[in-house]
Amino acid sequence: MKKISTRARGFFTQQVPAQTLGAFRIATGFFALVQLFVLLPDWLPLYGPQGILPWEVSDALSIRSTPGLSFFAKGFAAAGLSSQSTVWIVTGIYFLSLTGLTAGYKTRIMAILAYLMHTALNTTGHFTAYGVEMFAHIALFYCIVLPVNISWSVDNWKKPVSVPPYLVTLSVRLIQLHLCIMYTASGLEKALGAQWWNGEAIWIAMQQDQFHSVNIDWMARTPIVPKLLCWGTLLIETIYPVGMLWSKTRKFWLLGILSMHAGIAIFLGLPLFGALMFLLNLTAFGESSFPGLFRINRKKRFAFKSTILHHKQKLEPAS
Amino acid sequence: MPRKHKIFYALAGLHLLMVGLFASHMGEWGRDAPLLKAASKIGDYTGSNNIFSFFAPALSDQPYVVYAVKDTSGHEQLIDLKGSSPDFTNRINNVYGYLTLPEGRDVFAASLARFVSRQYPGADKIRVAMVVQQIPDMSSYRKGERCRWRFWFHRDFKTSNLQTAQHAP
Repeated sequence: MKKISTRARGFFTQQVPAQTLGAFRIATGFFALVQLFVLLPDWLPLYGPQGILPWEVSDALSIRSTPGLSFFAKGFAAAGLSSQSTVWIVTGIYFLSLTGLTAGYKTRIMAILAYLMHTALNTTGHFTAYGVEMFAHIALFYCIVLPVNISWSVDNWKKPVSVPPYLVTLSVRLIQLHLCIMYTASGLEKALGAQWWNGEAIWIAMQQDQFHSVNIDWMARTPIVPKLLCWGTLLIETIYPVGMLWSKTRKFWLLGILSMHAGIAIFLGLPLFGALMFLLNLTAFGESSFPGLFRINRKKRFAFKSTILHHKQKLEPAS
Repeated sequence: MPRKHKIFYALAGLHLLMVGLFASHMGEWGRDAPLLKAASKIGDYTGSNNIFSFFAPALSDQPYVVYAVKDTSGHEQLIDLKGSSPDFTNRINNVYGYLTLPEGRDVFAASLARFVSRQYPGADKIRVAMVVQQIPDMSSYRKGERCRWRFWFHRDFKTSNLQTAQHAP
């Protein structure tokens, strides 16, 4: 019992590299920017007042308490701006705040703005939103409350950001434990369905017209393959906390979960969702699985440059 | 441990407790309980009130919608709503999923029809028809059964009525 208590205490007090939080911020901001540009051609059908679901309908059916675009539109209407202009103003603020967040410039203000704009867009567009928005929302919320400007940020470059080590550790553990709860819940929910035990889940998912990107007819003749993929998913998700928090398995578990999300991105036609989950896992557990992954310090860069120079000199013929 | 540290640890613990409870479907335990409502509202902002049932516990037949648009001259064409971004299909399929709920069918079908009517200003009538892709299990597939589309329901709309509905109180 004492051993468990000591380990738990160590888990929350052991120093964690601050770069983990910097990497998390950059991954979140950069991903949201990419997503914005991917969706931009369909922005008005998705979020516009006369989109697939008009604002009157999405507002009336919404059970969320967060403000939608119509909330902002009411405010802008006083200045004579149309609902459509509101969409573009919100989008403009979203773009600028994400750029600021990614760079780590006035990080907290930028994170608050990005979070508010993302919330407004997805409260209005929640009938078209899926898992990717849920995790973007969570990640942006963490960018507000956690000291994500501590590393790789303009803020830190201008004036070193001072954060007590315990707070860095707590912040990283918060993100890690959130992921642990999420994967365990997701794994358990899957385990309740027979399709995840007999391999039909992978078969059906990949045959669905929506996700059908590669021909998997051969799987019907070799059902052991989808069965193993399903069992692998159940294993890797349900006992994710054990796999990720135990140092002996962490590396393999991270590679497993990253492969799973790469597979989702490529074979299920969900590149945005797959990419976000890939990045969240990599930033949350990358440093503890592969020590030094995010610690690109000056010494290392210098050593790297010296190595290149050395190789270059060796390759160049002596004059 | 200083008090400030304790507060931060307590807040983090509370947040994770909420994440865990909502992931266990706490939101369905007692919808009208005031405490639960308050927790859910906080969760809307903090992202702690989610359930994580991706592709779980089972995958069902996939709904899809096709639109038949008829203009005033009687010319008819079939429309498949496709966006310009690769992620549009995933998002519109979410909306189609709501059409499987009988209580939401009319309002979602009318909204989709209205959206299509804006893309085709010359349209007089629009039919929103939902079909469902049925996928055989692997054993049936080996026996020769193949994926097929089954008609589910349709709704007809006159575009003039859709415009009227838009301005109705």
